[in-house]
Amino acid sequence: MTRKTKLSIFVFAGIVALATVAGIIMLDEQTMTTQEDKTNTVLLKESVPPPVSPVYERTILTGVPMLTSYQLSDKHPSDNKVYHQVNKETHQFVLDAIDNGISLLTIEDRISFYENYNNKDARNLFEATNSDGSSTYYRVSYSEPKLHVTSHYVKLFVYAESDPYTISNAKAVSSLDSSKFESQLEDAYVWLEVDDATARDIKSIMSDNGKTLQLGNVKADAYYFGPLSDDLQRTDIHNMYADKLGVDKIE
Amino acid sequence: MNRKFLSIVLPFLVIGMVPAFANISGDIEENNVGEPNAFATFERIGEYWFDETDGNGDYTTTQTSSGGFYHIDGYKKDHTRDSTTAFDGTTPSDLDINSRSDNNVLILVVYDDDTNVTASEAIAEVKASENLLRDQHSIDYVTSTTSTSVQFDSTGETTCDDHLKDARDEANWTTGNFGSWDVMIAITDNGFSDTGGACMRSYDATNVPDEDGQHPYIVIDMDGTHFDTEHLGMHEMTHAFGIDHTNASCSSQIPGIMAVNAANTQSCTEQITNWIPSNDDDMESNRLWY
Repeated sequence: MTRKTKLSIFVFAGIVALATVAGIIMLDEQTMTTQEDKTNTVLLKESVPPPVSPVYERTILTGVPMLTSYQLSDKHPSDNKVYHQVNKETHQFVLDAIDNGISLLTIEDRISFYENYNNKDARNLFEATNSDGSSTYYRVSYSEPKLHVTSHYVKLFVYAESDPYTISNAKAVSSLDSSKFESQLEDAYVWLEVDDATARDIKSIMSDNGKTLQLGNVKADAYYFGPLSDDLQRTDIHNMYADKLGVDKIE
Repeated sequence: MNRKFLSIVLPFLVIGMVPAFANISGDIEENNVGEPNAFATFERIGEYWFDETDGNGDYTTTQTSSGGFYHIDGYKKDHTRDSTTAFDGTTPSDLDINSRSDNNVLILVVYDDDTNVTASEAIAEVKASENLLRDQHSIDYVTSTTSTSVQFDSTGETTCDDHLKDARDEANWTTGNFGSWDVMIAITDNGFSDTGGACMRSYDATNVPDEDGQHPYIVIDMDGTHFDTEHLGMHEMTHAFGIDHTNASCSSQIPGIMAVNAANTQSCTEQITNWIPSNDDDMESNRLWY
């Protein structure tokens, strides 16, 4: 190859590279949409346009990937939505979220959950068949709260009195046990940190009564996250956090 | 020096000039004492990762790449924030945080009882994003004790904005009727034909609010096909604190909650539950709006 030929190839490759960069820059122009609402003198802030790629495919984690579930009061009479049945062979972690209220995920679990259960027809709705043949309905949601795996957290989902149907499977606990949830009853639906002794007491209450509890006049689902989490028995989940913390065992 | 020698040696010289991935170590302190259980966040274009401080307030993490300057933020629930920047291979300056109280934003929760959303679900879904604002910017949600039932029109609602305007009208979110509420959030699972699951307006502003008292109202769909409600709530509440979208290409910005690039041919998979540093600064400036 002559020196002239080499130079020609080099120049051509440079042009191609510059054209590619220019093309990418042109495609990057913003496309935020806004639309005036003349009748109300306000402006719509159109938000979160559909992403080109599903957001759940991202591999960056900002917190603890988990599924949490709560029981739907019942199937709404006018409800014609599709409720998923869980494939227990491949998605035990979804069943765990339904049974235990919470399930910790790997990134692979998250992608699989969205790919299999998250579509326009079903919308995170699940149907579980009870031993007597009846059905119980759940909504299972993904979240990524920034919690410390070495600290204890408890959250309550309080069922409102105005909910159209009564949750029937709540196990009544003693007033002494109810007092363990005092701060969660005051600030429901969010993760609140608790000390080690309280965490062990609450885990024991949940172990004896299940996650759906009658706390005085209130029916609620209780959730626990921390070093006593059952899912830390899963090797892949345990190692995910142990590696991050640089420890052999989370306790 | 002959060409053959150069062709062998040069690649090694170039590789040697690229910094190896290094550990980033530092300290988060309160009153010059290491603060345990705080978070350190590391951000730069295309990258985000975080670590937690140990009992001595120390964090250590391994960079996932080499790329020059990165931003480091330190924060903890009920504390102020601090931030710095550092270059690959250098030790960041200590981050100082101090105790502070939460500021409350009063949120009226309404739900669409034409669907199978219940009062308790609606509050739970609104609260889904609270821990992100509470733990990082000391902003606490105070919601109505029970959510207000509204019946969205059963016909003619397809877009997010249709639902948003209907929620506003049904809940009477108008001048003279706001009461003590700062923000209204409506929850439905009707499914929207247009956006990724949520939208907002300000009753008294022509864009995102630029000050307190402009009564933002939001509708969130529990459809769940695009995002989780934690993500949607955080995004819309960030608008309520005066922050607009970040419109740069996904490949040229720090991964963040306000990233949009609808017609961008690149995938925008980094719309994560993270505020980029400038958003964090704005959230801190505006956290007392409500």
